[in-house]
Amino acid sequence: MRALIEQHRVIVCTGSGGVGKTTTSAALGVAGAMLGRRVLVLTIDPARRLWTALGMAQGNDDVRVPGQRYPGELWAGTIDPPRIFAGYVLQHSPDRATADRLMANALYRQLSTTLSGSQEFTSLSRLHEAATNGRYDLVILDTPPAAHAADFLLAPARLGAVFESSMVSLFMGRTRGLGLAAAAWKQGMKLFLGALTSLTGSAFVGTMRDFFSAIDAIAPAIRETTHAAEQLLLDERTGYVLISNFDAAKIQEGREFSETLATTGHHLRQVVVNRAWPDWTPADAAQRTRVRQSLQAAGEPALARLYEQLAGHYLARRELQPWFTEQVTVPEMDEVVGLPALERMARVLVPDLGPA
Amino acid sequence: MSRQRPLPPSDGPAPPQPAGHRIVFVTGKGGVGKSMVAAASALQLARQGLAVQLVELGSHSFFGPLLGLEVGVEPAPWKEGVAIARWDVESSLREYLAHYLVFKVAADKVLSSTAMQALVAAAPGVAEMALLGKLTAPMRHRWYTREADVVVVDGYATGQFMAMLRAPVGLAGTAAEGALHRHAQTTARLLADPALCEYRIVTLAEEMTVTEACEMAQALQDELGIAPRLLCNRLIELPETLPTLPPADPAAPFVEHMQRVAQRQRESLAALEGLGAARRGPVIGLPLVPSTSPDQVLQAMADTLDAAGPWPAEGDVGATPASKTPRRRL
Repeated sequence: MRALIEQHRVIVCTGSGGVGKTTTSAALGVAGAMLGRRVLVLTIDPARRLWTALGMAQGNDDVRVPGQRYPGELWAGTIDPPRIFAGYVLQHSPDRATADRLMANALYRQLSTTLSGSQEFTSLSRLHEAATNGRYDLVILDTPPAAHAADFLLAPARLGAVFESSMVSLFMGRTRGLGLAAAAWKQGMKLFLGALTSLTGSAFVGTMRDFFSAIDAIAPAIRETTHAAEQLLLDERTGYVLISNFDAAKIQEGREFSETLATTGHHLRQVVVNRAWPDWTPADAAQRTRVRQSLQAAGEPALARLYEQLAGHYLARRELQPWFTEQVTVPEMDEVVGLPALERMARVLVPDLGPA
Repeated sequence: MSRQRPLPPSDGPAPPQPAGHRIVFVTGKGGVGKSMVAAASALQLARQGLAVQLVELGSHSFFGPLLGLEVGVEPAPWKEGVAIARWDVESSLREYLAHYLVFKVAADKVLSSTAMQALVAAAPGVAEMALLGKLTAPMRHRWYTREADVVVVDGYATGQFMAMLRAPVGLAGTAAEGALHRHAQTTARLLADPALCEYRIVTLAEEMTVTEACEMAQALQDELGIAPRLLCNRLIELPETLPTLPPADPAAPFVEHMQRVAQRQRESLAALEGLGAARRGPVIGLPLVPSTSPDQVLQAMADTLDAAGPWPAEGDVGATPASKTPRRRL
């Protein structure tokens, strides 16, 4: 884990909802600053979990986390999709009127806020900028909330489809080439638009046509950013961390995700199993017996039975073989809020961090 | 090329006797175990003699690897009375559009993968409508049959689930005319029909998940007029009073932890009880089952749901078993 932090430029924290992804990202950021690196932790988290964990108010620009005394520096930043999209529009539209027309379009407003893929795209855009502006040694990305860890990898392609030149052509009524093929293409589109009109009404199709003609201007820049960000994600010095727990669903998701990453050429460096077991879980059978006998001696047979059941359950977990070679387990901790709590978690994640 | 055929006989005023079944949605914050509760709910309903289809949404199957099944669009039999299917957006959208489009060959030709992706991406709500359209098809079309008395939907996590429920209303606004508009309106009405739909919100006895569950229950009550059932998962059954042990006692860390658990459980249950009219029936507590066997965990959860019965409570409509003979208990 120490090598992960010291030798990488980007760490991408992935995992599905409810595994403690944001808290882990923040703790890794603290570990990085303790190891002397200038670290930025980026989140899109709408639940403001990062800001709660760091014990600070949310800002628009990167903020140096107050109260730190580390050899390095710890910064935190938010990803704001509407703001990032507006930046593209203003920079690449030929004039202000074109920009305004796009930003007023109903579909654009959905694109920049709720559209599937837009959170992931803006995260990548922001990540690429932060990793290349020279201000940080390490950027840690807390990926947007997702039902499945692999969603993050698929999202840019989905958004890319919107910006495909053929889709834009379709709604602009442009044809490709000449002759029979172009005629067939045109015929297909006519059919498609006709079906869409009967399905949704002409007003909706009009909105869509406006939308696609307006995004024509920013499409090249969007494609370029997506491409650059994808290269960054494949870089040797970009490491993925999968945050998981002991739920059957999460273990299964983790295995699938590690296979997906391996086949796509990304580098999964570390698996973090969060809230693995409570801190009272006995280290061995002898300790388990001592605790049980103590509860019985205290006249608490019901509690002793409960302890037996739960201790057995958590010991069984502890004995499960790790499914990934670089796997660290983090025991249940009471609410991780504030830098001291994050430092405690950082020391569990990176045991060789050195003296407190 | 043929002309457009008239739209199928549907989506006008609701048919007088829709062929249908009940729908049970299960949702909750990520990590609360909603898929397990959905599966246990399916078992619970099957024990009442109902034919149950358990449906998971999305491109990854949770139940397949967990239960050792091949789960796809066609329902795969699991336990007696329960079959499991997985509906992904793309195949549902294809099914949905093919139904409305001129003819199926053209649909397949036109709906190239890129066009499909762009349509889904560019028109938010379409993906959700495709899934909801498939779900409610038997209630809208007499010719669309599904062999089930109840469909249990292992729904998305809170935020995405609410986005799905809101999609029909949103889309009816964006597409102000046409078949899609009428379809969106009908779907919105069906989702708000308490005789047809039941909502189950799963939470843990933890502050963050309880807060989210309460907010969602209130939103369901406000937006659909339906109060959800609330299920508090992974509860530990503790004695009334816990001892205070000297700090040096080997059992002290365990007992102190259980004291905190007891406190959290008390506070969480009180918050859920406090929902009042935004909650249907009592709060159901589900036990933490200390087992790594999915089957054991699911059977124990279904036992608890059974014991919390009679369920469905009186006043529920539409639960007429497909088979006349009640099934054996599993």
